[in-house]
Amino acid sequence: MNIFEKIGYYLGFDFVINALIVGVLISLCCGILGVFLVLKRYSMIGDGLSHVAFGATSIAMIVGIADMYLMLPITIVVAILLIRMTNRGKVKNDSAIAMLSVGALAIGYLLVNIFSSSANISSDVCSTLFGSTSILTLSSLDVWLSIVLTIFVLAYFILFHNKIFAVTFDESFAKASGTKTSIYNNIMAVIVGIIIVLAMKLVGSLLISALIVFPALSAIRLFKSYKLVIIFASIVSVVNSILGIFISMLWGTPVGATIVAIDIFVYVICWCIEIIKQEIKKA
Amino acid sequence: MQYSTIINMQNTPSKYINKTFKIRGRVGSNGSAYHYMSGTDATNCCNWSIEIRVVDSSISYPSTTNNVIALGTYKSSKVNGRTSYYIQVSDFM
Amino acid sequence: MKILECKKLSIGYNEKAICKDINFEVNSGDCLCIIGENGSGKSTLLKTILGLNKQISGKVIFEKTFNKKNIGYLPQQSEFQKDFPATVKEVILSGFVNKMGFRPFYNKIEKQKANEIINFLGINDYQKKSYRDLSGGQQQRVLLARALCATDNFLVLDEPTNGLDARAIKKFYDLIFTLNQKGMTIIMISHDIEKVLNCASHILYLKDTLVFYGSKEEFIQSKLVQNFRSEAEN
Repeated sequence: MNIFEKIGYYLGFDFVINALIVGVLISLCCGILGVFLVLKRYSMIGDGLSHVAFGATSIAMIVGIADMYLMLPITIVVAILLIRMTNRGKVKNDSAIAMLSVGALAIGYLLVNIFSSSANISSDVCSTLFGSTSILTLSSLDVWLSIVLTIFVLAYFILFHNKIFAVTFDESFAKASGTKTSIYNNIMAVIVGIIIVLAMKLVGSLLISALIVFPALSAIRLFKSYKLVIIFASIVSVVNSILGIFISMLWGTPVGATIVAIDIFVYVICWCIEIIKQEIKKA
Repeated sequence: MQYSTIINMQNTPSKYINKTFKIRGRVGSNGSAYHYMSGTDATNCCNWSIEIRVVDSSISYPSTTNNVIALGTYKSSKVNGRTSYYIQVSDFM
Repeated sequence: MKILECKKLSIGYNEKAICKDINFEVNSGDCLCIIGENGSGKSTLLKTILGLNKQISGKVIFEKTFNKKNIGYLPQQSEFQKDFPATVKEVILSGFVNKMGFRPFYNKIEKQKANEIINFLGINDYQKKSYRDLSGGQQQRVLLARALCATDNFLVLDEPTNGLDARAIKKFYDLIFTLNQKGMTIIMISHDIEKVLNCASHILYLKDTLVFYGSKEEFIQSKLVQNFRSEAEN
């Protein structure tokens, strides 16, 4: 079979279609969200929260319930607490994230090893950390959850984009002229928590930061308008994920790492374009 | 892809019943009760395994521990009220 | 008309007061300049007035009909703002954010007002540029434009000439003076004592507590001007 025949054949499978749908939705949200997180210097929050989510998954594995029921609420709560703690200046952004991130990972892994009755612990763990094939083995709950949450996230970002810009660019100014910035921060924290949990299915805990950071950084290198940055970041994120899923299906590479490799490649290209533009300006 | 397909076959069997598959993996057995094929995913960290049965007596299970390719149809059978799924192998390559 | 009054205000952080017993008022059309050494609490005072910081004790009283959404604040810039990817227009228009309610897009009136402000401040040449490609002086002007979008009559400026060269500083104070002449009430923190004496109507001098509050003329007549000048030189 040539490549196109193969792709056509794969697209006949339900689980491949699901993978593409959820992959597109998740990377769209990550692309948009990434811009805010990078600009607010919360780049590593994806990492921290995904490790906390891993801790929650471990507990769910031990207790025997579906991981989503624990992962979502715990991750959301931690996201809100993180953003609140760092806004009050009591703990610096990076220390807070480091503590939570490593602590959750270690304790989660410890608990799974002590208490779990699963036959193959390391593959469960590995799958959560690296995504492996989670995107190709989604349940319908996963798919519906992704669709509903993405609609909510997109609606929020479109309807409130000017307010979100004001709060991101200058929280003091926004607050002084009457915006209830804490509400926006809390909503953002909830959205971050939800997206991280979903993104773990695509690329796994360890690689989430890449999904958040690279498309945003690529866009920031190339564009000077905040609207264009967000649009480009979402497009890049979606295209990279689709490419990554196809390449991984066709050549058997791990999905998460493939997507991240493409993200890095695109970032380097954007960086080169920026350098070329600057050289042209100088001349 | 193979790993995911097999997992999905086992999660939602109704979509795959009576379809033909080519599977690459190692053949094993637990003595004489049943045979299976198994393998890993791309990162070598997750395992899959699926029961195989040979109906045609002219075909024998390979004794090698290397990878082989099996061609077969996905079938179900009911024993003591429990349904189990297996690949009915028509050929080993 | 009295817009703002502070009574026995003590300001600080985490229950610790850095400046106590501040009493002053701001009337419509005033240009109040707040001066004092670094660390004397000037920024904190502004933040307390604006509700960004809770006071330790005392009262901040705005006149009853004054709409708090009608405040134009020009805070000190943070490092990451200077690199922010946004066009000048986007930054300026964000001044309207609190007048929009739930409306997601800026309307024609707002866009027109932004254009008028851009003309008034002389920003036309670089309005399509990215904020991060501007010089310090240009960025301050853009932030002032944003503040003017947020208000018609009440500006609060925190060291707006920080990091600007002498020419940009002079231009900035000329603008402030013009705005005040047109009726804008201004509260401003400043270190440029000579410029301040030119355009201020009232002076507030802080050092652990209120050292002076009164009209510019009273301040000049008191010995305090000399104190401040010599302290600034040391």
